[in-house]
Amino acid sequence: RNSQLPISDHVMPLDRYRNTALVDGIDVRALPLAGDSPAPASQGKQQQQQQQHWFQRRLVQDTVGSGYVEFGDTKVLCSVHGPIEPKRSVLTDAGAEQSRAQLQVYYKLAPFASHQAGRVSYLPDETERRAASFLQDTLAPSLRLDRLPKSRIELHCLVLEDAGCCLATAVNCACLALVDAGLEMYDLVTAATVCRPVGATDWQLEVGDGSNSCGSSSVTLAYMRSLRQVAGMLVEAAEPLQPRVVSAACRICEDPCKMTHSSLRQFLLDCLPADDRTAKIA
Amino acid sequence: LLAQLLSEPERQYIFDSVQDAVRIDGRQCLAYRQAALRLDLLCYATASAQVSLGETDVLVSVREEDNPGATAQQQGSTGSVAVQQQQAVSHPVSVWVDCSCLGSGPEQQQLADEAQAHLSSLYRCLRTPTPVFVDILLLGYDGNLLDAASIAASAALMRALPASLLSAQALPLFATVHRIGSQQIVDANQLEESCSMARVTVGVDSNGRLVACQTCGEGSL
Repeated sequence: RNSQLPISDHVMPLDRYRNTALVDGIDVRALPLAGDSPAPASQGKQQQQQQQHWFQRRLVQDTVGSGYVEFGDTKVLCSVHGPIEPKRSVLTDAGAEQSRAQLQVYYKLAPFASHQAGRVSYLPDETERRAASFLQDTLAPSLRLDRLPKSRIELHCLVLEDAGCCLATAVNCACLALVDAGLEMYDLVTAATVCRPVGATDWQLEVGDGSNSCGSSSVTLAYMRSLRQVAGMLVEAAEPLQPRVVSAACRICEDPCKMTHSSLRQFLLDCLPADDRTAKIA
Repeated sequence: LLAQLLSEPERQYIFDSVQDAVRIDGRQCLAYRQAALRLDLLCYATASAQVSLGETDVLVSVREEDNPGATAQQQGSTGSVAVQQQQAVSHPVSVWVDCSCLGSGPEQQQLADEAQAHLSSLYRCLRTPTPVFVDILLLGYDGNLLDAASIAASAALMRALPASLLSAQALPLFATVHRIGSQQIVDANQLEESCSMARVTVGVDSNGRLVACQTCGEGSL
């Protein structure tokens, strides 16, 4: 099992398989060497909150665009196909239906992905269908679907490991894949989750280290930073919550969303070739 | 569904009139339609309820299954009879939504899936000693399925479950608010739903506390 080393100020190039070029302000989590003792269990909350995302694009060869995000131990892979032939149904004769692209999201946990639930079935179950419709409702506001009439965009989201904060990481990954596919968007959509065990009073940022227990309430917020709009919100309450508690949780979610937005944007800018970077629009 | 055949001028008309706080059936923006609740319609269900909210008609049946392993007797290896212990297992409420009266296309299935996901999350806090199955049948649809289904399901569950389990509180209900342009409306019918960009569905219990909350729709807030 991967254990976390304390994040150091400078990057130690222990990871031979990944690009260790450092971008200002983004720290790459170093993998432990064999024989290292596992990190002490009592890591400060501050350290947990500094957990960074790992972004990668172009992982899948045969697709228009793809993205891969790691947040702690949670790993999500998204691939985009499109624009392709739209699905025809009896009622799509109306012209208005064809003037925008249809966005179809498929969300699946890999059979080996879940820590608690054991082996996940290969057929999508209720949680996965719900996550797919949440992703669809969250990404559609920022995509310029009206630029691609009479077509369909398919987004396949595969969770390779679910160690908490799975839905928010999937939103981030899907956004990365859509940008990689070159689809026009109004803004990047980033998401974060806060959770609170039953009976506790503080909301904590959910990070991908498997520490989230099933019996806690969680609030997931998907936010578009530049537009200052909420693209989606999902509250799963393990106990009845006061409305102001829920709105306080949404406000707490905003900051991690903004931080993820800036690190994702920085990552995408750094992917551009150096000579194109001067010509970019800030 | 009917709303997909709406033309662009009709859609614009509904949109513009809602901006002026006028709805096409003359209601206020925050007014519900006339609702009717009938109980105890089905004889084989533990409890049942039917709600009609305008043209939206929902029939709910609640069945409480006996625990199948409660009184099983097993023959042990020594020949003695052992009674299988009834464990104090708590079951979540299992919800199934059927929209087959509307047809069998993918849109109807998506409506049913969404409603099932929402209603399962509404009753997540409720745990019962025996498995309880809530079957929701949609008989007619004119918008606002979630509110109507939650009224019917909560009414039926309150009839079916013993009072000790409910702790003298009413079960939670959904309230769905649609956003059309800059106005918020409550209890949208099917035509208004097709014009709305986004909606927020909130599950609230009798103390005004949130039990579930989700935004839906391809718009941002």
